This record gives sequence, C-alpha cells and structure tokens, in this order.
Amino acid sequence: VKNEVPNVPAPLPGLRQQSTAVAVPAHQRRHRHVAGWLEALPYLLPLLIGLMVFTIGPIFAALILSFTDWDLLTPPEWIGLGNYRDLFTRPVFWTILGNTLYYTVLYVPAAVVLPLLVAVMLNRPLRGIILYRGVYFLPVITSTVAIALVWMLLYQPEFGVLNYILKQFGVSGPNWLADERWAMPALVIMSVWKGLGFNMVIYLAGLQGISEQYYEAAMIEGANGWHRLRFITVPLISPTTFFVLIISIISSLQVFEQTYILTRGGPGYATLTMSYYIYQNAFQFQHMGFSAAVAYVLFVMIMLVTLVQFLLQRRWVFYQ
Amino acid sequence: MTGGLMTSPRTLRTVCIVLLALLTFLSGCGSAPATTTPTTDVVTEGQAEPTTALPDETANDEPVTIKFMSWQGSVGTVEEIQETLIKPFNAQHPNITVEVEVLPWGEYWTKIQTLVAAGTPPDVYGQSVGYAWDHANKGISLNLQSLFNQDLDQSKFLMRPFDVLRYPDIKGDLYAVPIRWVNSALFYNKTLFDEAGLEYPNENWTFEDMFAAAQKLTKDTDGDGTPDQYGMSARMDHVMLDTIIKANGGEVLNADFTKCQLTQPVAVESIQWVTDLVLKHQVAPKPAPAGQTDAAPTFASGRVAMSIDGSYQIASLQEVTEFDWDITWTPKGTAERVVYGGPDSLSISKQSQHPNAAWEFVKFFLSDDAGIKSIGVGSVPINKTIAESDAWLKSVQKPQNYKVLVDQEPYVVGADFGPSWIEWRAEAMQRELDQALLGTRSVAESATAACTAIDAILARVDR
Repeated sequence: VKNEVPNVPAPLPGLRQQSTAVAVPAHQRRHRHVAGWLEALPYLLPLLIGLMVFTIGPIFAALILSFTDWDLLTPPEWIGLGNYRDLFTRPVFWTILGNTLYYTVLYVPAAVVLPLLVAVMLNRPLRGIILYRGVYFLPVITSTVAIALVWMLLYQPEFGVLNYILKQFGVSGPNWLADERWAMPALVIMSVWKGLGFNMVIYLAGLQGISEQYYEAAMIEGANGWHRLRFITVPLISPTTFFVLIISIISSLQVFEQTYILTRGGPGYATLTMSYYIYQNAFQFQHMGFSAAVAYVLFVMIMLVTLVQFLLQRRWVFYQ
Repeated sequence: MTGGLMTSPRTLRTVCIVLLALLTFLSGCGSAPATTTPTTDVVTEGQAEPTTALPDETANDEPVTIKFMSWQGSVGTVEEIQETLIKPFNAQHPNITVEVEVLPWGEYWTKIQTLVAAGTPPDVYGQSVGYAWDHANKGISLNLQSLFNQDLDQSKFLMRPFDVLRYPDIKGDLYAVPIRWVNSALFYNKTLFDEAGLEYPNENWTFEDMFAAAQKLTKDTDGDGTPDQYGMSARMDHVMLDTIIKANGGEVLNADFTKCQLTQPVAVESIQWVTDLVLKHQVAPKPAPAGQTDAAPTFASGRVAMSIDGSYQIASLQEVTEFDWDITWTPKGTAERVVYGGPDSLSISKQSQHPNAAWEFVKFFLSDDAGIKSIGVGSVPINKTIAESDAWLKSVQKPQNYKVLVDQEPYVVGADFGPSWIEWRAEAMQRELDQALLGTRSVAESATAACTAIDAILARVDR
C-alpha cells in the first residue's frame, strides 16, 4: 500500500500526515488505517482483479486440472495422480525433458557471457554509441515470427547465407534445421542473437553503477584490460549477472516460439520442448488435464532451479 | 472421485469451463500462430434421430434460426457463404435463418470445444477427418445415417469417400457428411520429363515404375556429389506412406482402430522402400521440417520431377509458371491400387435444438443447386452431377487431367481416420518414422517405436 500512496490523489496526503502523528491514539490510528485501506481499495481493484482472474486463478485451476482427465468436450474426471504417473512412464516425456535441458545448457552460457562482452565494448564514449546500442537492441523488439522467417532463409542449406560463408572456408555446411544434430544448435544461435540486446541493456545499467575509481586505482597498480575485466568488472557486476542468469534459465526452460515456428519440434523429436508439448497436448490433442500436469512439472523444475541459484548466490554474488 | 472441493462432477465441470474460457481469452491476446493444417481435412457430421420424432420446424414453416460455423479457407468467407449458399438456400427455405461464423483453423476448434462444453454448439459445423471419429465417440455429433437413408439417393453421390468417415469403423454409420474430398495423385513435371526424353507417367504405372523413372530423372548437374534435381519426393505422411503400405497389401491400424500394424512385414517393407528412396538410391531429397518449404527441394520448386501428393497442392501450383505439370493416377502397389481420400464434411451437433432445419442446410451443400463456388480448387465435389459437369472439370487451367481425381473415386481409402488421429498419425507416427528417413535409426526400430507410441495413444481412448 505504501508504494501506492503517492499515486493516489485527494484523501491520502491527509492520511499520511495523520498516521505519522504521534499524538493520535492507537484505536483511532487503527480506525484510520482501515479507512485508508478502504479508500485505496477501489484504486487497487483493477490490478487485483486482473491478477486474480488472469494469473493466480488459472495457476490454481491448472493445479486442479492436472489431477483430472479432461478432453474439453465431456465433463472432467478426477484421476488423482494418474496424469503424473502416465507422464513419467512415457518415453517421449524423457526425450522432451532432455531436449529442454539441452537447449538450456547450450543457450544460457552464451546468453550470459556474450551480452556482457558486448556491454563492456559499448560502455565507453564512442561516437554514435547510441546507434550501436540500438542496433544490438533491435532484434529484441522485433517479433520472433519475423526473425524466424529471416533465419529460415539464413539456414537454407543450398542458398542460405550461413552455408555460403562456410563454403568460403571450405566447410560444407549442414542442412541446419532438417538435421537432427544441428536443429537444436540452430535454434540456440538464433535465440542468443535475438536475446543479446536485452541482456546487454541490463549489463550496461550494471556497468554504469561501477565507480570509475576502481579502474583508476587498478590502472595505477598496472592492471591491464583483462585484469580490469576479470577482477573489477566481473565481481562488481555479479548482482546483474545473477539476475541475467536467472531470467535466461527461466526463459530457456520455457522455450516455445522458436521451435514452434522454425522446426515444429522436428526433425523427429529433436527440438520438441516442454512448452511445445504442453501446447500440443492442450490444444491439439485435447488432453487438458495431462497438459496441466506437464505444465506443473515444468513449474516445479523452474522453481527448484531458481531456488538453488538463490542458495548458491552468496558464493559468487557480491553486493556493494 | 475424491476430495472435498471437487466432489461434484458438475462443480468440476464448471471450474473447467471457466478455466477454458480464460485460456481462450488469453490465447487470443498472444500472437496466434498461423495454421498450416490443410483445408482438406474437413469432415462434417450430422445426425438423424432414427426413431424419436423430433419437432419438425421445417414442415410447418415456423421460423427457426440455426447457426453454421466453419473455418477460414473451407467453404468461403462469411460474405461468400451468404452469397453462394445461404441466399439460394433461403429461396427454398425462407423460414430458416442461417447465422454464419468463420474463424481461423486454430481458433475454430478451440471455440467449438468451448461451445460444446457450454452446451451451446453451432447447429451445423465444419468437421475435420482429424476429429470426426472423436466427436461421434463422445456424443457431440448426431448420427445422420437414417436421415441420409431416408432423404438422399446414394446413386447421386460418389460414395467411397463416405466410408472414410464412418463410426465406429468403415461399416459403421455416418456422423459427418462429406461435401467434397481430396485425393492422392501422381504429380509430374512435364518439362523435366521432356528434357529427359521420357514418356509421361500413365494409369498403368506401379510404384516400381515410378522409382525406375525417378532414377533417370535424378541429376547432379554441378558435380558436387549431391543431386540438384531429384526424381521424386519421399515422405512419411499419410498421403504417401499409408497409400503405399495399403497398395502393397498392408495395414497401418487394424480394422477397429485399436492396434498399430506397422511392424507387420508388408508395412516394414513399404517403410523401407520409402526410406531407400532417400538414403540408398538418393532419388529423393531428405525431408524438410514441417512448414519449411525452403529447407529441401520440392515439386513446386521445379527440382523434383514427381510427387505422390494430395490434390490440395493444386491450388498453390496454379501460380507456377516456370515449368509445365500435370497429374495422373496414383500408382498401383504390389497388391492393388489404393487412392488416399480425405473428405471435407459437415456435422450436426447432438445438442442442436433444430436438427431438422440443420439437416436441410446440410442437404443443400450436397444438392445440385450448391454449385462449385464452395468446393475450392483441388477438391472434388461429392455430388456426382457436379463432379462430372464441365463447370467443375474445366474450372481450372491446370492440371489438364483434372478428371483423374473423379475417376480415382472407386479406389478411395481413408488414412485410418479413427480416434485421436492428429495425435497418433500426424504427430507420433510421423515423428517416429521421420527418424528412419533421416537415417538416425533403422526402419525396424522406428516401426517398433511408432507402434509402441500409437498403441499407447489408442489404449487411452474411452470407447
């Protein structure tokens, strides 16, 4: 409520004064406190209703659904843990889980390291720096569908730019998206490129919070560029890195658009991911309950991974 | 059933309906992915109440309103449907008002499901081969068999495609009435045949003849070791693979759609034959991922001389000007000739308040008055008179041999359009067998994996 106060007009300034006044008796204060809540409520309701109806409600409804067999057409049937039992005994589930983790393992290191390097390069007073930053940020605001269509052309085995470049070095490029071994790396390359600008901006903000004094002091001590990056920038930017790491892992465990548009999960099962499997079971196969169960498995996975990261952060994240 | 919150199925159902409504709402906010499902897989189903006397609104001319739903690219836009179907229909039935709604493919099925769950489905709706069996099985669509027997003369229709849609099996009843259907055909590039000095394919060809020609039509013109022109395409989809398996005397599923038959010798040999086209003989390119026409040469690119494909491809080939092409009979297998057929059809909701009015509307689609405007390029009208009329036969410039699509009718067989078709056929079977075609796993292993997956899916169906 405190955060909302400055935004709320007429009655609240008065409330603020009163609630901080020592002279007001306790019972009266409580009364005014309740009154303040009641006054704030109408302003909060649109947000609260939206949150309840569109986020918290569905989250709990999905949990209940995951214990049912529901095809959307006939009434749902309570089957307890049936969906979860079914899920873990399907060979295809383990393939899909493996694919999702494989994507994450390939994507996250690149998505954490490359934007940092770009941010360090662009964190200096260059002529036209805003243009460079804008160019790197451009893919972020472009729709994945448009980007995927362009990358499809880049990946085209015979006439695509990528294989043309490889050919100049005497390398015969693979049929990227149609080859089981290359389809997933191809998706990762595109995703890293698309996400680079977003993480870069976060790093840039972090970099600008590091005081110049550290670098000056280090240079007097004779530290070269690498030393400054390794022993000043990296440790001091670690809270930002921590944030980038967490959102990168979450977004890669939920990867959907890339595989939906570029490969439809193929060839074979090579790029079928958890989110895609959830989508398919819910909207193509009409197994709403089963789909909700997969969604909850993914949810728990993400929760655990994030929790572990928070536990491990004290070992490597330095808050100034 | 257990637990305090969810003791009543009705409560649970209500919760689920609300949830679905939310999901529908939310999915509308996201970027809806473009649908790629071909319009060929439409089936309609209607049901006649065999013995129960329904109030016959049409007899006493009481005004009724029925709702018709269809998806984009099926029978036309709302305006087109008003003009080509509802206007002439109303000339005959002034008392029946038809409301029309047309949605994109993906949204369409979500909406149908929501409306059924809410108890307010459209009276008449476009049905897909992918869902027709499930809708009959779950009591969503009406059994139309007795209405059909009572009102329609079989000799007026091309009847084979009807069998594709029967429930529970090929000898069962109609819960969806075809209005048109798509065929498999042998598409061939006349320009490439002329260049090679080969005779065009004809109705006597077998798949082996096709393969022999494909070897002569595969060329590596730049000498880099990979062909730049292929003799044919090879795919594990239902139009090509299932047709070959059946033409060789094999089965994909058993007759009552309960068991996968792909591990039977004939099926394994047929899958091997298709795989060899790519891996051993290299007369066909490796397949491109779904939705990616650029990742591999296609018939439309002019670099593949022949293709066993669905007649729905004719529409997109209309724009091709770089080469000349035509179609001919689907080749014969070692056992018989089999032609794939996928009907587009209409169903009537079991919950419809006006089944008789709905049935009148369905019948209009099948009548001579419906014309060809709602048929679409590449689909054959189910009404014999229309299918054999010049109006339809000469409705396209290419292919010259458009008529072969009608001629193939006596050989039409469906692609086992049984329960959970999209899940077991379009997804599981396709993905498992594609791995054989990619060479990452043997044909025998892929067939076994496919059967394991398919049997599990079929076992989950409540029959």
